[in-house]
Amino acid sequence: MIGAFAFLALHSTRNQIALRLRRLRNPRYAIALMLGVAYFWFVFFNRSARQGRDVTTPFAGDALGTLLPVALLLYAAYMWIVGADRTALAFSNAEVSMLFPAPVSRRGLIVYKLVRSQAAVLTSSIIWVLLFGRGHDALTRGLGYWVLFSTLNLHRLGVALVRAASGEHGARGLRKSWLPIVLFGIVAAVVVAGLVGIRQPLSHAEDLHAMFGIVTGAFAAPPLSWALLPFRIAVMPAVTPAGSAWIRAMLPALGLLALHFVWVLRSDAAFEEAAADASAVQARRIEAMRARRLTGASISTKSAQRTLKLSPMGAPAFALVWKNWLWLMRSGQLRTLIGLPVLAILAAIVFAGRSTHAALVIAGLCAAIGGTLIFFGPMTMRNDLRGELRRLPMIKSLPLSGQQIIFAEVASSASPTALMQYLLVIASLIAVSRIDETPVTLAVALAIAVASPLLLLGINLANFTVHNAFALVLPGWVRLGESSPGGIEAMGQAMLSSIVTLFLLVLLLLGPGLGAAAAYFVLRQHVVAMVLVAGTVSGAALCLESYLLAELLGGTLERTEPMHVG
Amino acid sequence: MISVQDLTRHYGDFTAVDHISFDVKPGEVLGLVGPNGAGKTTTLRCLSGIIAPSSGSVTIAGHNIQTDGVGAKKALAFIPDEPHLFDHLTVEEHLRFVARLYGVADAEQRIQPLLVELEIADKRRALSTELSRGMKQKLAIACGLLHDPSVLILDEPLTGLDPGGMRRMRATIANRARAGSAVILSSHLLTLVEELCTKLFVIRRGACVAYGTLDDIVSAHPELAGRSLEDVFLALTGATEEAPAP
Repeated sequence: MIGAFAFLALHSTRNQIALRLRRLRNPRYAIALMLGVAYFWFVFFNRSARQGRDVTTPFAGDALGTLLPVALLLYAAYMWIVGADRTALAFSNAEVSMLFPAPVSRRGLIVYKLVRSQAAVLTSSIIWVLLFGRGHDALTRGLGYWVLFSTLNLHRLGVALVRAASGEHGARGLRKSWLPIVLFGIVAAVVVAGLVGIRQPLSHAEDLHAMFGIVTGAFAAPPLSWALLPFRIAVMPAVTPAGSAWIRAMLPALGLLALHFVWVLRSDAAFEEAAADASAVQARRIEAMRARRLTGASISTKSAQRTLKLSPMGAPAFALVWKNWLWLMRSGQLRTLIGLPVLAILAAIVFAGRSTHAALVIAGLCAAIGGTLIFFGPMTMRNDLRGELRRLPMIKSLPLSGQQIIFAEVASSASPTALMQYLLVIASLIAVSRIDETPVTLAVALAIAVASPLLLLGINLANFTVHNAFALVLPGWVRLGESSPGGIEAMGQAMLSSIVTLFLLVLLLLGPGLGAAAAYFVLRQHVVAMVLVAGTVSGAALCLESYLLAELLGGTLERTEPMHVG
Repeated sequence: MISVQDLTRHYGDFTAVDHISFDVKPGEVLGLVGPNGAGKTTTLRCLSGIIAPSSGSVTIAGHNIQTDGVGAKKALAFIPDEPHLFDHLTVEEHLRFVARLYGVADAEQRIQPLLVELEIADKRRALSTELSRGMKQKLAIACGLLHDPSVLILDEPLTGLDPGGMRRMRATIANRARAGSAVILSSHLLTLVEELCTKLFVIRRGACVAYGTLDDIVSAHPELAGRSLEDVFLALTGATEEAPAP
């Protein structure tokens, strides 16, 4: 049986490599590969770029030495309490069809799954070595990362199996997995008791920095340090320099890895059913990605209970916006989009009054997140034409003009992103207004609150229009559903498209930016008027530019045929 | 209602549809038949505005599909063989979505009877991903029929339907034609074509090999008189008439 598994793994890998090589005959992929390779060389091997950067380890210092095990502890707790990612057990549809009915034992399937997961584990280990561990102890660090990632992978699989066994066999399933459950229970109890113990000093902490110090201090001393012991054992080979100390760190880490392996092999009772379920979940995710989405978010059947009303009369194109907002709601993205800024607003209300430092940190974080959304927003929020191009025949059969389709699709992504940024602006304003001698008066804050919606909407409409235009004109250069190629050439393509779209966005921002600058010079003595005029005028200009660009692209969409987008 | 004049479509050097012309009047059902790769799907896609013809013209309910695409699409419903639905919308939401697109003012009154007619009323709050293949097909049909189109273009409409569903679908097509819709039906099920279609358009390698009522076609090919539609089809398209020996 191992021979069959090896055949499958080897030939799948060989065929994938052959496909990639064949694709390089196409200049599009060849140029992208060159860009990707250049980027990797610059990041990993270019000495001048690495000068002044500590590349020995990301975990130097006691604070990080404590933080990493704490992070692992939190991750493990998340897996046990909320549930490990069910795809930890997932097989592809072909694997379910071919391997499950085959005369292969459950343990054989688990071993196959573990061996397949080693590709990701090894890749991660190599990348971490290239990023942080090159030098005389690269090998030992690489082995340390491999042990750490393998242990984490086994733990994830083990938790998924325990939860599947309890789901399928109830108390009997739990009894079979009593040892890991008891061990996790002990660790959880110690952590909860330890955290309760530092409740008083935490409530008297002046700022976030002080709170952080109290928490890390508590985890460095018993009893919390005892709870961290297994996590520290897993981490130590990755943070210990080569030598006898590393060997002393590696031995218990290998023991922990072996214990995990035995645990997973013995937890195979509910494997097939759970794996089949997980595979179905994964298949739905992939299907969702192929059909439309790139985020991989799956839609739960429960989410269908909530809806948004849609009148049958009115602008027909609004139906597309409604449909796309429903997806945001049901995939949980809307919760993130609104939840994060709402948390920021609450943090501003609760913490910003405590110190100027806290207020500035909150305002700065909000501004940073809002700002980065201009660059990363279109990469993560693809609830627009880029997601729809794969179903072009259906979209083109709708009774809508190309311009209507483009504008509705772009608005579907631009409006929620602008909403998130606006809420972050509000959080920043609240935080800054809590400073004793705030530079932002109430009138200026109100002016920003009034002017920013149109400005943010304009910026996002322009930004998303540019990204959709790029996808429509050069569909081969961007990720469209399942066509998303992997590997270095995909990264090169993404880099090139980012550069081009950024350049086009700058061009679109130029005119409105000059208008805003003119407003500043004319009205700088009247700050409130300046903010209102600069914000609304530049926002309106950006909306107009986007509308005109959408009209231009409408014709392109009408001429685009399904075969052009693959 | 549907007028196709000299329609041609090239893909590079390959001619998928080669100067075809036909008309479908209100109440008529045209059967578009031909072997795999004959150009049926390309023809249907040109008719529904998904792809543009290389030359020739397509007029739907008086609207030229190229110069007034929105007007033409408002009058037609295209139901493809593979239902394309949105994973995150429920059955009822698909119909509301379509109602808004086509401005169906009395959508509330139409949705329930349509769901009952197609036997998916109990699934109205289910996501499309929860539906079986046949139910997805029924939902796609419901979406096509909701705005009461005057032109109906169907590509293998019975795929995935159970026997009861097939019978109801046949009745629905016949009823729509009787109510004045112009229907184009592409199918490999020749019994369905024979039962419903008032005339036939046989296409092979992109070109028309026969057009008219079955009687017209047989009178143009006297050697086919008295033979079944399957025999007529095989003879016209040049496919082998003999089944392979077991």
